[in-house]
Amino acid sequence: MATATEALEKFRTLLNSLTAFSCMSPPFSTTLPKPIVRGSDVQKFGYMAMLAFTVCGSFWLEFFLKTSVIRRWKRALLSILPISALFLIWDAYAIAQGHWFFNRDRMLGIYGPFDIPLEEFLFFIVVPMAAILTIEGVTTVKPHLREKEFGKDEM
Amino acid sequence: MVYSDIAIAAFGISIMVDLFLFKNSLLTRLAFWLSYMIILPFQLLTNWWLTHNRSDGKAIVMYDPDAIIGIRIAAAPLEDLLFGFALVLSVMGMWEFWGRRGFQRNKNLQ
Repeated sequence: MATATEALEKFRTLLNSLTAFSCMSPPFSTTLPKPIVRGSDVQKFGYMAMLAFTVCGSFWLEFFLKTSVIRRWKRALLSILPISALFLIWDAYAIAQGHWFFNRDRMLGIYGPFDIPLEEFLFFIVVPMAAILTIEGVTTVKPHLREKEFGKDEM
Repeated sequence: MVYSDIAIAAFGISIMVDLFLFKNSLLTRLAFWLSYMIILPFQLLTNWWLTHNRSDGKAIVMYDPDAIIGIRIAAAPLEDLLFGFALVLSVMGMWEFWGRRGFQRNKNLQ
């Protein structure tokens, strides 16, 4: 009886070792398989999830309504960067003064100048892009709202 | 200056620039207000995501109680709406500005 148990144990160890380097959980393991993604790792994407949602909610307009905002990326960048720079100065000041602060467990943990998290830099690109895509989406669907668009020329 | 002061200033400056510096103000155009009506619910939703307290008792973004008025809408400080309005108005204003200057005005890049 003891030899039968030993043989079974050897067979189990062999099978488990065969799958040790694959993504499969050991088929005869007596303990629960180690989860591939731990809770704390998912938490780190808390802020990033909001940015992903904003991208998904707005960038489809480029392709389905043909807003041509991403195609006109130079105009978009020249519109976004000066404004984002001003808002990032505000962000740096507010972080330094402690007006707002971040739960570091919910962030990727990448920080730029003035302790501004990567997510904040992305925020000031993603959200302005969403805004431009929205107004271009509106004027694409309702072209008559564009009548006044270039009414007074500054050229 | 706290968050409230800067938010009110940003809100005011963005409106002044739109009305008096840029030609063909966005604030007088239906296209802008329709866009803002679309953006606002999404702003409230994403604001809530970032500022509501989670199971650990903390939000993703938190505020010094001394830096805000204290009125909260969808978990976020009222000031966030002023901040968002200023950001959206000024970026759209710049986009229109470059269009009026003829820089990548048309969709087909001609």
